[in-house]
Amino acid sequence: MTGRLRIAFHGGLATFAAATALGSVFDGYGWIFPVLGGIAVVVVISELVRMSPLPAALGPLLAAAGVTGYVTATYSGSAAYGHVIPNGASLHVLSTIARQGFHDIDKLSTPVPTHQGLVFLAVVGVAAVALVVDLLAVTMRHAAVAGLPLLATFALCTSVAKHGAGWVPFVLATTGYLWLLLADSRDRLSRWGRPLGLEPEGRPRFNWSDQEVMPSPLSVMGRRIGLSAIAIGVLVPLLIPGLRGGIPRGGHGLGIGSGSSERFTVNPIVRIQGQLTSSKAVPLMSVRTSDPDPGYLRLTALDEFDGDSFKPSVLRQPAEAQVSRGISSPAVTGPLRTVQIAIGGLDVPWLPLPQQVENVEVPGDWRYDPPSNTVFSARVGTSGLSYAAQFVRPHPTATALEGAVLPDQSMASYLQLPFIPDAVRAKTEEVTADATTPFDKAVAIQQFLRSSPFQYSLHVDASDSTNALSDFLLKTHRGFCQQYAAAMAVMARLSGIPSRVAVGFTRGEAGTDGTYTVTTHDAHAWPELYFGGYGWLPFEPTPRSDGQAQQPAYTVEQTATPTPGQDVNGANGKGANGKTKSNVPNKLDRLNNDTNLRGVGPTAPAGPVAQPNHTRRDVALSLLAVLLVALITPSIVRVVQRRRRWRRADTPTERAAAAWAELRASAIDAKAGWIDGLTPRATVRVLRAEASGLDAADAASLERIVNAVQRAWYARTGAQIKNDTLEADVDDIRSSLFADAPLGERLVLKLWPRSVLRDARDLTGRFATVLDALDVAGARLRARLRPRHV
Amino acid sequence: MPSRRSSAPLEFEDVAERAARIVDAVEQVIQGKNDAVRLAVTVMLAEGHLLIEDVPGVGKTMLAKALARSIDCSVRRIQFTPDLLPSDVTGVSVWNQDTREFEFKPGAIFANIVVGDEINRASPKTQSALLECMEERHVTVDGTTYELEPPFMVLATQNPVEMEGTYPLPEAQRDRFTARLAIGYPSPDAELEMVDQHGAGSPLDDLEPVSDALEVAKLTQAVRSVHIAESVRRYAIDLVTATRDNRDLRLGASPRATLHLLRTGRAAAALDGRDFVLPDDVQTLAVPVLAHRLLLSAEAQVSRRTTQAVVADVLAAVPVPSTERPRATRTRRSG
Repeated sequence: MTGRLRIAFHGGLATFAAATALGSVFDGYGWIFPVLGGIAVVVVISELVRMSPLPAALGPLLAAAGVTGYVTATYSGSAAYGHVIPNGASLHVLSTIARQGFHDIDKLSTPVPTHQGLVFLAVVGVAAVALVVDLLAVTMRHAAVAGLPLLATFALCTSVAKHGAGWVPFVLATTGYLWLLLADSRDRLSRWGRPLGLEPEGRPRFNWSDQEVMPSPLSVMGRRIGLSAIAIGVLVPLLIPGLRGGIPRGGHGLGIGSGSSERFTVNPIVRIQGQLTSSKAVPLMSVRTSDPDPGYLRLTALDEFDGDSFKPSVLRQPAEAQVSRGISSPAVTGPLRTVQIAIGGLDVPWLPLPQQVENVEVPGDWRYDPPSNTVFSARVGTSGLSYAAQFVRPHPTATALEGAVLPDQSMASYLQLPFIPDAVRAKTEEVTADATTPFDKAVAIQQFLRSSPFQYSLHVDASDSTNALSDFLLKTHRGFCQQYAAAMAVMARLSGIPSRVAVGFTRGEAGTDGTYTVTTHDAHAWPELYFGGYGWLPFEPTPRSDGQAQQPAYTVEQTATPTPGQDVNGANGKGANGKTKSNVPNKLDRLNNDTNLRGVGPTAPAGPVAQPNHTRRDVALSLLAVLLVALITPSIVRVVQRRRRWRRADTPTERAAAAWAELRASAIDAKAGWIDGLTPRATVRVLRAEASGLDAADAASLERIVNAVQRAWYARTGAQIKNDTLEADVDDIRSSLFADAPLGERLVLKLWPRSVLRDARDLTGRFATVLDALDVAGARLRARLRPRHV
Repeated sequence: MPSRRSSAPLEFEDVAERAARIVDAVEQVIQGKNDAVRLAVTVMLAEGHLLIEDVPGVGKTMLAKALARSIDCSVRRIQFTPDLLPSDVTGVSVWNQDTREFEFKPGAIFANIVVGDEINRASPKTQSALLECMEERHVTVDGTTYELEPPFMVLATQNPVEMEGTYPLPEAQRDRFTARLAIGYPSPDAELEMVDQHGAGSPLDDLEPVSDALEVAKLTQAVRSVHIAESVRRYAIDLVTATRDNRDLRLGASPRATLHLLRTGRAAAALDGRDFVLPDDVQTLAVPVLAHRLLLSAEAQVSRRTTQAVVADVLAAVPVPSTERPRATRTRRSG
């Protein structure tokens, strides 16, 4: 393989390594081979062009053409000329597939299924990256710069994936890049020439055997440095809490709002905190309704709880479900009302609508999903959309709901729970202990969450794992709608009531002309509980103090005494937007943290988010902690080792062996001469000669140990071994061994037991041996694949 | 000693005690050479043959005779001379006029203990006569095989090869000797004591047998039951293998050497009153058992190394597999 060819090959490899981050974007592995194919096409065509007398500038063009042919053959072969050469029909097919892909990107949150369109986009994107990498690394000979497109690929995948790409793709991607650099440097180095006569590679020979094949020390060193760098990059952020962001993880970027081009592609609930804490309320839509007391506007429901968070299930409906063909909504009695909504900056694939729509007049392909009661579109967004709808607000009475029955098996999926801490179960049982009917239980849970000590606060960590749930319920009692809704939904499921979390908006500010303006500050989440015969009913456990969160009437009827902090009638008497905010003094703090810490009042609760100017101190503290751990770990390991040795030794034979191992460790710890590989008696002879602190009693102890060990190792199995005093004997000898050392030295010897350090050194030595063996094996393999003639 | 005639197997304490009695008896004659005497008794208990090699006058023959005398059994002595013939050793068939048949006259080898004095003064032809008897413990003359009665032990003495008028023993012959023993000069004190004793008369004459052929047979029987752990067996094999790979050696130790090493190891353990062999036993015996079988390479000869030094090097280089046994037990239990 020539140097250039090697770089080209490694460039393709590095591209694929960076593209492995797609693994966290896609759900499944269907993307691997198409993407690999795209990269291969680019690498092969570029290399062929470079080999040919054609001008180098043609390389990228021909490679691009090759990729076009490749995707044509893969996705629209039947329409193309000879399956490869694109024509109008095949390009049309491709553009349809691409459009599908873009729609999927709008509609789906990661991890996305390996739909044709998405994979197609991935193939084209990665092939483009491969093309750029090849151009930079091979044609222009700037391998280092080729890292930029690779980084872009990796970063893009990481930012889209919900939890980031994780460390495996990180290691793969960095390794791929380092390999590319290594191949490039090797090629450069080889251009310097070779020393004559000394280097075995320089000698003319013909060699099929694996004799005298040794890896080049230079490349071995390069590989090891790269390996260490990657290991440090992965491990250090894990060890130091303040740097945890070091490993790429998905961020919770803001979706709605000023940047209207951003799309609502991930779990909507993680956006809510961002909306609520953003400094200025961005108007999203204006709503005009015939309802005298408008309720919430609902986007969709999150029904899958994975122990971590509630997530929306994938919405998929046939064309028959288009809202223009009517809505097959569950029958709800009540007055039919109308609503006109004009959306501004909000761009989501779900249509904000009141609780139960009967029909919707909206331009575009919007479909109704009955299970989640959602109107959604996989093709267009809501941005700039104006539409009208007729709806019914369910108004069951509390008395009627008392008679509601628990649902049948079809609702079982809304009862599914992963592992829930026992404390949360116990709390739920305690809260619902007095309630008899499911509805009573629901009201009791809502009441529990609205009452003291629960407090509305935006300053909580956005995480909503099971731990966070139990923390919220049992310890902190602080949260906003996200925590309250999730908590109530989980508690309802624990009580046997099907539940889910609805996401949407509160009704917003009423203008003078009867139009409500909904802003980003009105983003909200609330639980919906299912009662047989009445369907899904909203509840409101969030004690939001600005009056935007309304308790449904049927739950208020039940509760005789209103909870403090709740303001059922406050919605109408509420003042201007600014005044509302003054009720929520902490709303701005989070944003201000970045630039202006004075915004945090002394009474403001400290958020768990690390404050920027504390970061340095945190890092220092973390480093200190790491140092401390490093300082005391050896001695702790030694103590644990000793305990485990004695505890694991059951039979007399094992006890004798344990005594011997312990004696060895003690002797090494005390720097008394210990030579491995001698017979027990010879070892003890050496020990007695070396350690001056041993007296006659110790000599007797040693004698007992040696006798026990000799019997254990060399006598017939089942031989009688006297070893009642072994542990005490070893301890005596240990203290005698240490007795001679001065106090300071003794302290050091005990703090860093040399036996543990020696074990650690042996371990690293073994690791190095494995690395050496791998290097040699690799060199031999290469030599075997590439016999040298002359 | 009533227990001597009983046929019950011996306890290991008994073995040690009775063997010690033999050692004590021999030490009445050879003063200050406890190691050498113990080694001689060890070889006897291991049913081996002993080659005593040293300069003239240090008591080689005395040791051999003392050991022979301390046991009440048939003892024959052969003085090896350049004109000694093989038939003198093995025996010869003579024509009996009365019966008109060939009649076998047993040679000197037909005894429990054969003391071969100055064995390397005889020609290799005669030396070779011992090959069959020493290893297979029978003699074949004129196509007829005659068994030798156990216990059978050859105690040979020889002068160092460099001395005048000697024929070096052939390798095959050397390999049949279990151990080679050098007595060395006595310490001044021991020599003084010796002078005093020998002035009054030969102490050998005062030596009373403390054991007999039957007891020795029982002792050797007991020695055979001494346990050798697998790790120790492996250690012995490692040592022997190391001599075969050694750069200083032209000829390494034979598999028979391994057998002899372990057999003497058993005897040494029994002499200590142990029923199991320690690697220490193997180490102690490695030089006497291995060194005389090895042939130095030309380079080593030029640099005046000795086979003893090479064996000592091997001992230092091969680690004692002391910890393997517990590890192996643990795996077996979990499996």
